[in-house]
Amino acid sequence: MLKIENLTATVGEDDETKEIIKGLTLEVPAGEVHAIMGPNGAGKSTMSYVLTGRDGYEVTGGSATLNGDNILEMEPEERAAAGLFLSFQYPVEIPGVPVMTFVRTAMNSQRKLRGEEEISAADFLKKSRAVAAKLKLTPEMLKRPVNVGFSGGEKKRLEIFQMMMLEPGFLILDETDSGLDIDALRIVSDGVNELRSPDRGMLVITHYQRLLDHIQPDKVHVLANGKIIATGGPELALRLEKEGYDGVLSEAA
Amino acid sequence: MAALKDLFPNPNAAELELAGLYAGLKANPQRERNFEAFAQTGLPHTRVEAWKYSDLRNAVQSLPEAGVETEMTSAFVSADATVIEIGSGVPKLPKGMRVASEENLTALGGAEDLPVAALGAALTRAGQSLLIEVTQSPEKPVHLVFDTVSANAFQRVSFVVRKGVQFSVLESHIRSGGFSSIVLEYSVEAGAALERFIYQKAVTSAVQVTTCIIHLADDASLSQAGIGFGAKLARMETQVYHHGENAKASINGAYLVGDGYHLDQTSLVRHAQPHCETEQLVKGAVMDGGRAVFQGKFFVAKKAQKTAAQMAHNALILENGGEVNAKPELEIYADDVECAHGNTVGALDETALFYMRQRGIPETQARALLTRAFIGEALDDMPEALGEILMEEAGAWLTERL
Ligand SMILES: Nc1ncnc2c1ncn2[C@@H]1O[C@H](COP(=O)(O)OP(=O)(O)O)[C@@H](O)[C@H]1O
Ligand SMILES: [Mg+2]
Repeated sequence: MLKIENLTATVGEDDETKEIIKGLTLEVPAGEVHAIMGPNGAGKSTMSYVLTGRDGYEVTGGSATLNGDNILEMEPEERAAAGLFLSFQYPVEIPGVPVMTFVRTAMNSQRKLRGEEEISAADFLKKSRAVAAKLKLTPEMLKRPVNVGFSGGEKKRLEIFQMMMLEPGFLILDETDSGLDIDALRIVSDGVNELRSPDRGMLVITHYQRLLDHIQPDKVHVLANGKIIATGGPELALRLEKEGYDGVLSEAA
Repeated sequence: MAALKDLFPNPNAAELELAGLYAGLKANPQRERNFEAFAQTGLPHTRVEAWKYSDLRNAVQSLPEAGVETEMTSAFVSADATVIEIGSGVPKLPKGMRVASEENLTALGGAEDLPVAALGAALTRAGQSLLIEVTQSPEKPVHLVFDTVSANAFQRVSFVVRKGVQFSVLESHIRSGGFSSIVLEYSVEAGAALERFIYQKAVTSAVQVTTCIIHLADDASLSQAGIGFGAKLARMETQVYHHGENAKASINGAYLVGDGYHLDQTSLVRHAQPHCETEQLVKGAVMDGGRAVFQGKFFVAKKAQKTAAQMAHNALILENGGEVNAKPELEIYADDVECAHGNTVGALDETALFYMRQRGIPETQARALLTRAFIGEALDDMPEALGEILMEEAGAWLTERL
């Protein structure tokens, strides 16, 4: 499903570019959930932005394909329409644009890019009500501008709301668990688990085992200094939780 | 009156033509005073402080050709309102309104500081200058439609809104060419409430000046908002006088200025009595080749204690080459007041744009949505149906250009 091979990428403007992704190789087959763990500054968020096509993140080598299609050539909106969804580590405020308007615009734009029909207002409303109820988001919250005046936990729930509405083919969750209390963590995890399916893949970036207790990964990768330095089963996450990154880092060195 | 040639020591072709128009009208002492007030400055240019960003003299070197009939219509045509066309005879007015005079030639207050409005008042012909009394709140808003095509349009409408009356006005200022100076006056008596909503649109050959002077008595209120798209040069000027205590004014506005357009929104609010409130929020966006001017001034007299006045102007430059000139000013002589102004000029938030694109919204659509939401804040206080009419227009404009 998602296949990244020997990817290298730089960050920054013209003369201040810095290589952050340094030969990253990773494959997530359809139906699997992979966790990515790694020290702060390792390049986890950078990898997410490179895959989703943010300006200022330049690919200098390697490849990344989703279902065989080269995503690196696509515009960010085309990647989204192809099924790629990023739950942002820091969700962004969109002043003046209510959540409902935003999600409906996004959904219909994606459908248009895929050559599908728009969703009817009635179907959209029905679906959004059902999803909001699962995430304990009130109708009043969905009328407010996207992420404006939302608490950290509410913002993360709103990311999951968008994800469940858009039903993307491949999800990247960038530290979606940070800033969540225990109840919110369960709500968010239930939402993510509901999307697990044989034709969907997920990359879950996290520092903590507690998220992986809820969302059990098929594989765990350690990303350090811009590449994957270790891969294992769920037990790798448990080991990291106990020992920290030092052991794994020195083994890889 | 002094001889015209003494009034204009160095006239340009347009000023000579204007003097010719004046000479052809029936003489009247008020007309003469108005024209003299214009002649003191002539067509203002950038060395006239109040016009330093809008060079009218340069824009009107000779009087332009008439406009051609245009497809442009006001967004307000879809509003539920009683249309009053200014200039086509004595209008039929709804219940609660009456024409008090068909030829209001009174001298314009403060005309020396408003040379172009004085010109407009001086050159109105019969039927082009109305004094209207509003004695009861009309059932529906009134929609004023001004001259669209004439080579020269000089029109004046003065309202007296009697005590306690609620009066809602939509104004459509559309020009398909030519030079115009439209003058509006609203005298809002004690406890009366004026709502003024404005739609301005023109072609890039039109030069358009609209001046509105609003007087607020005790406990009177003004709620103003609108949208403007500019012209070769368009100046939408508002002057508000708080003459009474406890008067309230909100003067908001949005603008979208494209390539080849210039829109100047200038306002002056004078607080003469204690306990008055003014709020102003002007938000707009400019494209490459467009120029927006915001000049806002709050004057607070020594006597006007407890004045609360807030001014904000926020502009987006959507493309390199777009230009915004802003001059917010406070002139305060009272010591117990709460007054502030803020001004920002910036670009769209790139992070927000990426977030929207990551969700599948194409870049141009994301830019349009963000810009629309940005300027929309200035229309938030409008009645919902009217605000939506203007926002839809703004959305279409943005989608077409971005
Ligand atoms: N726009 C940028 N300009 C310069 N350096 C950046 C930029 N974005 C990230 N970096 C640097 O790249 C490295 C990786 O950052 P990031 O991907 O956010 O790490 P992680 O998500 O793994 O904590 C850090 O050293 C960070 O300072
Ligand atoms: Mg990060």
